[in-house]
Amino acid sequence: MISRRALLGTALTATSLSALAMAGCSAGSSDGPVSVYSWRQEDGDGYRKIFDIFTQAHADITVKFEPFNSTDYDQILATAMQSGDNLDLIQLRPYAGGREIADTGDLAPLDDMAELKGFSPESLAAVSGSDGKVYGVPTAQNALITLYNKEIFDQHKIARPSTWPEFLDACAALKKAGLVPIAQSGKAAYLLTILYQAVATSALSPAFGKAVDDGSADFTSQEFRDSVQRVLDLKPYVPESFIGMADDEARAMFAQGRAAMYINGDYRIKPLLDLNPKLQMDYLASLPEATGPVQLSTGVDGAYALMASSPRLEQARALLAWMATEEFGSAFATTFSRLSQVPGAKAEDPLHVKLAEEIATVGTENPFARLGGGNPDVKAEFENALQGVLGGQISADELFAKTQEAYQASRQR
Amino acid sequence: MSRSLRAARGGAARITPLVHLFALPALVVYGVFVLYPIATTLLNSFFEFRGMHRGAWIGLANFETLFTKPPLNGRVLNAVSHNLIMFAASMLTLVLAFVIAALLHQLTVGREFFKAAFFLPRLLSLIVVGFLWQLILSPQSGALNALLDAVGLSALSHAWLATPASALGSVIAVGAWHSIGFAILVFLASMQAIPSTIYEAARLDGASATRILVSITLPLTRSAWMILTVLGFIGAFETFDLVYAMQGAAGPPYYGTDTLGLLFYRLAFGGEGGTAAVGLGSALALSMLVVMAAVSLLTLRLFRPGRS
Repeated sequence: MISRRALLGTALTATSLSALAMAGCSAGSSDGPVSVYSWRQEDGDGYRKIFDIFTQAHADITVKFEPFNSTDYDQILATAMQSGDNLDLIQLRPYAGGREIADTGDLAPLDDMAELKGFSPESLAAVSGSDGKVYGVPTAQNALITLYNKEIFDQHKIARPSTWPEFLDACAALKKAGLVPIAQSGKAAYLLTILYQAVATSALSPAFGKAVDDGSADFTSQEFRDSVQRVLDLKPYVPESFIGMADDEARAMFAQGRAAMYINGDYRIKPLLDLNPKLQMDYLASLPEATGPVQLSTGVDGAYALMASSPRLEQARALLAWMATEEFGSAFATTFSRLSQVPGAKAEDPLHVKLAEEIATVGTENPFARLGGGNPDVKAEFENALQGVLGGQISADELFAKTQEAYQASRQR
Repeated sequence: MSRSLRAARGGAARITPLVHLFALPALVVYGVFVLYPIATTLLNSFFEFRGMHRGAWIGLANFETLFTKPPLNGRVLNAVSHNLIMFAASMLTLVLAFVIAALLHQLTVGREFFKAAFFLPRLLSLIVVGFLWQLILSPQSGALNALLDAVGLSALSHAWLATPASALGSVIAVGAWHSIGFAILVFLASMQAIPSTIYEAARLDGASATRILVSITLPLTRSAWMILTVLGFIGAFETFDLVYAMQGAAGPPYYGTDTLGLLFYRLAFGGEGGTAAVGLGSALALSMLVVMAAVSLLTLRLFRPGRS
C-alpha cells in the first residue's frame, strides 16, 4: 500500500510538471516572425500585402499580422501583456489610452528613432507617455466631416453651405422636400462625440482648447453650451429613431441615397463607395457661425509601439522604423484609402487629397481627443450624457454639470 | 492471494489510495481555471491598479469608490435596479413556463413537437440571438415594424431599442424567448415524475383541474421551482452577453439597459472611463459573487422540504 507521504509527493510532482509544461508553452524564442497586434481585423489582407514590401527587402525578417476585434482589442492586449506573452509590436490607442500603457514601462521609448524626426509635434504628443517620451509611430490620421450627396443637393438646388446657419437652412429645405437630411446613428455613444467634433469644432475658440489642457476649462460656460447646441439643433434632421439605429443602417441610408448627409470620419469614405460605387460625395468641415474660415476636426487614429520585452527587439524595431517611412505611409494611404501620419505620404483618391490639403491649413485637434482616460472619463461622461439629452432622459444642464464634474475629477487625479 | 484477485472473486475489496490520483488532473484544471481566478479577483479588489498593473494595497478604497462616490455609485444602483427587474421578469417567465408545461403534460399528441419547438431557441448562442433580434427590432429595416405595418398596426411600430423602457423590455422579452424552453422542459420532467395514481385519486375525489394544478402539481414540482428560481436569479444578475449583443457595452440609451455584468466589463476592461480599472472591476465582481451566493443559499433554504 502506498503511503500518504508518497501519495502527496506524487501529487506535488505531477502538479509541478503540469506547471512546468504550461510555463514551457509560453516560453518564447528570438526566432520566428515579428508579431504585430492590431485592432484592424478588416485590414488583415492589406497589412499583409504592405508587410510583404518590407520582408522582400529584409529577407531575414518575417512578419505575422495578428488582428483582433476592435471592441475586444484592449482587453485581449491587456491580458496578453499581463500573462507575459511574447509581444513584439502592438497597435497603440493614441492620447490617454496609449499613455496608460506607456506609463506602465512595458513599451520601449522611440525618441532616438531618426525616422520620427519629420512627424508633427502634435502627432508625437498623441503617442507620448506622461514622461514626455515618444512610444509610438503614428499611422492614421482622422478627419471628422459631414459627407453629403452632391446629386441630391444639385437635384434640390441646394447650394453647398458655408456657414452653420446656412447648413441648418439646407437641412430644413431637404426635410421639406421629404428627404431625411442626415443619416445619423446615436446608438453607440461614441458616435455622438464624433458628431459633436465634426460640426462643433468651429464653435470652440483656441482659448477653450488651451484652458482644457491647463485645467481651467469650464464645461458649463456659454461657449461650450453653444457648441453642444449645434448637435441639439440637428435633432429634427436626423431619423426620429436614430438612438436605436445602428451605424451600419445610417451608412446604408446615405449610400443608397435615402439620406442627403452622413456625419462620421473620413475612414467611412471607402466603405460607402463599396456600398455604392456611383455615390457622388463631397464633404463639409465644421462651419463658422458667420462668414469665415472653416475648421477641420482631426487627430491621430492609432499608432504602433514596440514592447520593451520583445524577444525579437532588433527585428521589431527595424519594422517599426520602416513604418515611419514614406514608403509605408504611401502604401498605407493607398491600400486603405486613409490619411497617413507619415510626412510626405500621399493619398490617392480625390477626397482624401483634398482633405490632406485642408488639414494642413485648417486642421484642428478637438480638445475631447485629449480628454480620455480615468474613472470617470470626461469623454465617456459627455457622450453618454449627450445621448441622454437627445433621448429626453436628462436635461442639457445636467449634461454640462456632469461633464464639468468629470473634468474636475480628472484634473484632481 | 492478491487483493485484486480477491476482489475479482467477490471478496471484500479495499480501494487503493492511488485511486485519488485520478482526481488530480480535474483538480488542477479546476484550481487553475476556477479557484485561482476567484482568489485573484478577491485579492485584486484590495489593490490599486494602473492599467493592468497592480499597485499598492488600498484596503476597502475600491469598494468605497464604487458604492459611495458619484457617478459610479449611481451606475451601480441603476444597474442593480435593471438586474432586479430582469429577475422579476424571469419569475414571470417561470410562471408562464409552468402553465405551458402543465398544458403540455395533458397533451397526448404533439407533445414532443411542442417541447422541441419551445426548446429550439435555447440551442442558439445568446450572442447570435442578440444580434438577430437587434436586426429584427431595428427601427428602419427591422422585420417586426415591417410586420406591424403589413398587418395594419403601424401605430404600434416603434424604435424598440431607442427608449429606456422599450429597450429594457425588448431585451427581457428576447431573453425570455431564449430561456423559456429550458424551464418548460424542467417543469415537464418534474410533472412526469409525479405518480399518475395521485392524479387518479384526486379526480375520483372530484377535484377540479385548477385544484389539481394548485394542490398537487405545484407542491410536487417544488424542487423544479427551487432550481429554476436559483438559476433565474443567477442568470438575471449575470446578464451580459444578450445586452452586449443587442445594445453594446454602455447599455444605451443612456444606461437604460445597463447591468452589473456590463458595468463590470466596462470597469475592468476600459469601457467605463476609457481605461481599465481592474481594482474597481474586481470589487464589483466580488460584491456580485457574495450577493449571488447569499441569495442562492437563502432561496435553497426557503424551498427546503418540510417548510411549507
